[in-house]
Amino acid sequence: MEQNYYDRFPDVLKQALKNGLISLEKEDILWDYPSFRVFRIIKRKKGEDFVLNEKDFWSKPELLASTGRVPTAADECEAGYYSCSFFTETEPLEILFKLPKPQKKLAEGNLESIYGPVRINDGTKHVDCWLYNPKKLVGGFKIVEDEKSVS
Amino acid sequence: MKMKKACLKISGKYLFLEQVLVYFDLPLFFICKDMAENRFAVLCYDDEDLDYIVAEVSLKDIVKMLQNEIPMDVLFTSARQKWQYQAGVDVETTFVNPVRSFENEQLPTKGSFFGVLNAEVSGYLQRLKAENTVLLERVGNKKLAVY
Repeated sequence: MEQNYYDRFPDVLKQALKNGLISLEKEDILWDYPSFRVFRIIKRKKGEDFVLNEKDFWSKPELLASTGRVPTAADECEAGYYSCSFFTETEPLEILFKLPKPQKKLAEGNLESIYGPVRINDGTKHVDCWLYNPKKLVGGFKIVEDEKSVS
Repeated sequence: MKMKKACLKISGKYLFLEQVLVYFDLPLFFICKDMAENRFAVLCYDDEDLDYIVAEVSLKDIVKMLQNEIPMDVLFTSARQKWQYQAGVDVETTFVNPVRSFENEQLPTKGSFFGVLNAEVSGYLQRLKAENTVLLERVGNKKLAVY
């Protein structure tokens, strides 16, 4: 691992790595991997359009940084909290369309090493991705289905 | 051994995470337990503002919901005790307020079922069912002892 590798990541994740709160140097975290297809839910408030932007790929702690607030049951000492969620299949995402705030659509794209390391959970099909720069991912993703066709 | 961290405090009692049922960027729907083994279903209904609802639920009803025998909204609406809150900086600054009922927009889509279980939630369901069997056996033994 190159020295100061954490400088490549967004602010909150960078600090968590720097302070030793979490580590991304683990056996189940892949840094070099072939491109693979993933899905993500995109959420909007009523009336907002579904044009993808970098905030759609920001992790929760980066989005909450200015508030200092922490989601219930989130573990700040677990690397997954600092990741952006994706799934390798659409089925696990179906339940999200049944939960409150209905303005959601499904987006798909590919993850590859240049975007950041990943951890794939084969049991849940969930993918943690620690993105170096969420902005770089936007162009490679597209909205594929609307709420009605998925739920 | 790592101490389990409390994730919520209701009426002075600490709740601890038992199982995350739905995760997407953060735990959205999960089950907590207090020290007396009471279970609470927690649902994040606004993940931008970190707004949540909580319902005290029975083991039996969680099993029914995961087996798609009752809809998710019913797990919350049928609960005897209900609360709502907005997450703060930590457990001590998160103030949980009792409510008589939930608004529709706080709940899962009316009549919708949990659906397919992933391997982790499936394992959790099996553990709950095993726990229920042990409880039933204990109750049965007590009845035998009385009569």
